[in-house]
Amino acid sequence: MKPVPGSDIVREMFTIFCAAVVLGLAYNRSSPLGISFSEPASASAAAPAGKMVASPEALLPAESDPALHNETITAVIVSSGPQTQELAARQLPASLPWTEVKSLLANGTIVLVDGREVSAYQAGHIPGAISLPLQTLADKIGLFSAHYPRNKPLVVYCASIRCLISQAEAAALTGQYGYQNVREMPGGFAEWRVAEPSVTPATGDNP
Amino acid sequence: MKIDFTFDLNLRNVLRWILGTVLVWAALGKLANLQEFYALLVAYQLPLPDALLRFTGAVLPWLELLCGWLLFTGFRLKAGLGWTVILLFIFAICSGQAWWRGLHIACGCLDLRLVGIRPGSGMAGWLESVGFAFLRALVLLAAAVYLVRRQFAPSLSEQN
Repeated sequence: MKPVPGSDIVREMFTIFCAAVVLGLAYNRSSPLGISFSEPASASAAAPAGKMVASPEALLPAESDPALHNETITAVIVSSGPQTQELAARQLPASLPWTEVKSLLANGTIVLVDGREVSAYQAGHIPGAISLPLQTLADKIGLFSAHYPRNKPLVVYCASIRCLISQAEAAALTGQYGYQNVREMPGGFAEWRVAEPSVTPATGDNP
Repeated sequence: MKIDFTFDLNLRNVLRWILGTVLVWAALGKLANLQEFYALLVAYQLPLPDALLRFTGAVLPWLELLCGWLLFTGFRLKAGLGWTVILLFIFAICSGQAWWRGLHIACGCLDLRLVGIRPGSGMAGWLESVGFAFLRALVLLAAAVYLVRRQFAPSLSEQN
């Protein structure tokens, strides 16, 4: 019986795929930066706002990614009261992971700014975030600053850890427009999606 | 004719090595931090189940690494080329749709830190943009398709 033309190649390709699956899953299991296939630990397990957080590591999910976490291994003290909250925000590091942003957003300490384009914001954004695209920053900053004074702490995010918008926008808000407390959430929308898989992204225009 | 044949053979080898190098480079960057790669996949906002994205994040780097190794060594070349075409086609679709939708995300294709380019620099932003990734994927796909056509075409001795 004559073999079907190309069947050898298909069989070899299938073998390559199986090898990749076996190697990939084995490596993923052994890697400290491997992907968890179980439901990610919810950031809601973090300490509630207004309490002193002695160990910021406790705020991080169990599968915390050092790359997303960046250099934010510093003590965060958030207590109630606007003045102390502002003081606490000043003491925050230049970049924050979502686990820390979450509690600050929940108690109104910070304004979460989405630096992506309007279309990306409309398609899906972190609930409570305000759209302020970097590309139209100069046009929209007047309206934005009318709502949010320059001493209001801001946290800017974009799509993911490698997008550069949040970094550039944080620099522009600080250097050009005089905002005093601007931080970056480097993991961006992707970090939020990973940390909060059960939460549906908000859609539509600015509130 | 002999000169043409020699040139073609060299061109094939060069293209094979280039594709192999790119695939190995892409794989090593992802293997260094699988969670970061998964986060980059999520940023594409593809209408795919999360479990599939996680599976892709774990397996794709090894598929790239194996394909790169096969292209580089010439071992099981046809199967390696077949997977290379499939992968590059998928990369082109994913990066193209992200570009079309105006997503300002890093493509997550090649880790520029491996060649000393720091993320955050202007050059890195351009090289990691999905627009550039789309064009690069098309060029590499064209090279892979050319290699497939040459590899699967009957040899001169078989034709005669």
